[in-house]
Amino acid sequence: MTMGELMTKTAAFGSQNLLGGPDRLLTRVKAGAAGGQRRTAKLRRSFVVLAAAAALLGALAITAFAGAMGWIPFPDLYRMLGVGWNQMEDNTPQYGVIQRQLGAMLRDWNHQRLEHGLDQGNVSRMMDALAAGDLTLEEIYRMYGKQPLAPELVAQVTDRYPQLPDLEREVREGEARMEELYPKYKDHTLDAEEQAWWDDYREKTDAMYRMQEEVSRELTVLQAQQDAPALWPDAIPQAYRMTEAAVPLIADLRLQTDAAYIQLLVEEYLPQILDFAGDITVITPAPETVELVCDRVWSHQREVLYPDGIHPQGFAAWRDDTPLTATREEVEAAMAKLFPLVRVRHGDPVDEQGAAEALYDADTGLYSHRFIGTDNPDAQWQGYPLSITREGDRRVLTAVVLQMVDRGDARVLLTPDGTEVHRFPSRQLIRLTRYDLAKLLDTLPKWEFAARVDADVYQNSRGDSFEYGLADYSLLSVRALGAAHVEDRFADEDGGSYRIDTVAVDTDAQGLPVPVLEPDSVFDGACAVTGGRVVQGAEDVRTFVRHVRDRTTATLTMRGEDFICVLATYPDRIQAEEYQGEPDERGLVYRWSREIAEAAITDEGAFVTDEWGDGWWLGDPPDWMTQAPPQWRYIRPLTGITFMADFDAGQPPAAGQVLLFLENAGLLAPYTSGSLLDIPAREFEDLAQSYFPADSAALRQSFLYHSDTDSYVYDWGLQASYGRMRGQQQEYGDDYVIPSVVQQGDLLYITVCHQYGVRRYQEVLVVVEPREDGGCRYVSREVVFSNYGS
Amino acid sequence: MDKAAADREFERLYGLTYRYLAAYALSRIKHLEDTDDLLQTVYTAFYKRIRSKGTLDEASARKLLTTSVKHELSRYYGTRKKERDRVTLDDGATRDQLEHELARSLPDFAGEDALLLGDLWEEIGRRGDLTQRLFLLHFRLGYTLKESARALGMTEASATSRIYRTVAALRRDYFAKEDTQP
Repeated sequence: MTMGELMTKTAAFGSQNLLGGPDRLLTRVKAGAAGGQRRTAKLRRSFVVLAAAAALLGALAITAFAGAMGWIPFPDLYRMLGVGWNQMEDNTPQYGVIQRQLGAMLRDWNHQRLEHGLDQGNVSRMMDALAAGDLTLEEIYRMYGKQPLAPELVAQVTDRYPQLPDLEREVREGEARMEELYPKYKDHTLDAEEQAWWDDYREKTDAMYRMQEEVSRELTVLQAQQDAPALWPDAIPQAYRMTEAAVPLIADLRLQTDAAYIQLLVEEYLPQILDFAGDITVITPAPETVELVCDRVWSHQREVLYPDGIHPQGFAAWRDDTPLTATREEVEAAMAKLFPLVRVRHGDPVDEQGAAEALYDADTGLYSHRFIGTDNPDAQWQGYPLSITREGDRRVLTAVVLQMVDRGDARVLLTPDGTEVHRFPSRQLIRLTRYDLAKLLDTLPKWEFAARVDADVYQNSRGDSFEYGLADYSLLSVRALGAAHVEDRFADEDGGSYRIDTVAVDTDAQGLPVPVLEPDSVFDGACAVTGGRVVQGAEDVRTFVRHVRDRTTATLTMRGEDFICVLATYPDRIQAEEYQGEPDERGLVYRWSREIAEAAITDEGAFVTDEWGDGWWLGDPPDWMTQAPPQWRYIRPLTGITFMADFDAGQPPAAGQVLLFLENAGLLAPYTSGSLLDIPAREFEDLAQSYFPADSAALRQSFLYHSDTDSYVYDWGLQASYGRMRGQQQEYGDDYVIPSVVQQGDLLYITVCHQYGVRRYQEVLVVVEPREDGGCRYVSREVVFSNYGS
Repeated sequence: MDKAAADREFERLYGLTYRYLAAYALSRIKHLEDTDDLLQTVYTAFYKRIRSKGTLDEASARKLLTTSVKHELSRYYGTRKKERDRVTLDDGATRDQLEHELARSLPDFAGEDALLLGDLWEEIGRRGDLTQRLFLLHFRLGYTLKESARALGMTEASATSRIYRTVAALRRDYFAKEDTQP
């Protein structure tokens, strides 16, 4: 072989992630074309750095951890853990990072010991002891028979990155200025010199992180090389040993968890995306025979199972520490309902930290607390949803599911059956390159699920019939596919279903997302909205609405405080593309792209972009929309007035509704200790009856009433049963308005309107009897109009 | 156009244009690792166009594809900043030296050692983005030195010198003990 041939091979080898070659690209193109691929929107990487910088800034306030942990014997450990100077010093943020990294390292060691048939350490307990100063790192190393890296070995690696200390110093020195400039950056008001400095700083930060990762990878490899299983002690000291019962049943559970996860996608995420809760059909079934072992409390991807009927408050309460008791038969029945192919095995109780927990008591056959989980507490599930397409009245989700675990010095991706399909170079570098991802997607089996969709038909102001719930969902780029985690994509922690899509987008000079919609516009307007009003560009809005009415093509860009929405009207439809929030640390923003029904100006002068969406006033809103009448004080404490059940003398209100009112009115404080309310039955009922046509017998039917203590008990920490939080009261104008108040005799007839956007609303008639002390007694509540359900 | 015919036509034009287009994109794109994505986007659109509007001759295809790449670069992917390169005088000697260097013989197993290839590529990367692009054009896509230099907006002498210096350094660092005489 000649040097020239070697160079050719080197270039081919080194560039396989950059340039797959003509055959590879041809396959990608054909697959993309066949799959209806649209353009792959480019992510500007400056966002990645920006986000990292922002995260750094945000984290600076956290208290130091490192100093208390006895790092001194291991001055270079932070290098191995892949953290930098800023994670190691006083008043720096890295409590969480270091703890996570160190915990991951110890769990690695546990896995190694497990593979050699040795017992494992209780990581959680060790970390606690470390933080408390009861244990040093040296001692932990000794427990596992590990040798810290010799300084000269560390130096061998770090010497190869001579720029790193300088970079770290520069980044550190620039930190104050970055903090100072950050508000201006957010407001896009950096001048040219500041912008240049900012860009330069971000580049340095990026380079620093890359080098830190490289050093970490090399040191980890070195440490693994000098590790000798023969030196490992036979047993971890008892105080820090994982108990026999708590050793995870790794081999048994992998397949079952996969099935559960697949079901999770179907049962939980899909309805969230599609915003419906209908029948679900699994097209490609889960493996024919699987077992689901109900012995784990902890689940990385949240609790999966929520057998209706077992718990009186349903699934939501399970996320709290609400005690649950269920017989094994009930569990089996619930399992069978959700997982028809799953055979239930009642196993040993184990919690996240490996501590024995009485989840299932074999003697009594009863389950208590929560159950279901994953096979491996260190595993993270990675779901790569590929597409959701429409097939008649069904939606089909296609996804690849993998789990990620730490192995030695690397983090690996496993297929559901445990086969390793990808190995990341280090635990810190866990992003799939597009090449890797494309390779995986070509080879891995894909799961398909179908969901039936009920459309909500509405006729808009142009006379078009519009069906809600039928917007297509697709991923725009392989890059986004690689970066997105299924939970990020499908689950909104706030409980909404708004975060639908994660896309990589291009950005404009201000770093704002550039929308993809590009009709051949005859009109390209822009407006700014804030506080429910169009504050700039009202004329553009009017022009755009004329285009909508005339069915001519035009766009309107709306910029809000935390979103950008582009509306495009075509002869046959109106399209909206909304970007929410700022790009995350991966440079991704959430995008909601859909066809909408409306873009009109209402008679009252509000610009409506969607029947269900918000409206923005073009001028001043009418007074009754913004100014609360004096009678609002009667309505304000009635939390969720438009959602509570009707009541009157013949149909008394439920105890829960009364409870919330009394709490909001500040009447329960004397009976509350911490988050726990405990009020004698008689006193609660007296209070209730002084405000409502309440009936003691009806009130006592509630689960709030405890006959053994003859009191009403509720833990405000749960907050599971009611939508609004304790003490939260609705504000006038945002959601609720009072369009009319009529007095007849001693009674006031107050109409309360709760609205979504401008066109969907519900009117509730509340009848009250004012009292001389300024309060009132509620006589009845009745829904008089609602088009929520249409 | 039906799918089978469109596939045939697309593959024909793809074969005729890939190398040129890859080099074009490679030499201009801001981040090298985006090259495949960009090409995929451009060719996918091109394929769809053939399906819907029929085929076209090679020159038109090349023009259309080049325009698409330019559009993608300017709108989405960004173009690389031209680096200031040292001007190298063309005395002809460097080219001879490079040829001599590339003709040196090495043990065959060197090309099978993935770790070594990785290290070499990393070394090349350390010598700068421009060098890396140069290697890709010349050694991966088979462009001549002159073509590679033109694509990257540098003189042939500079390109030759840059490759020579890199290759010589790699040999010195990695194969100093080997019998490297041609």
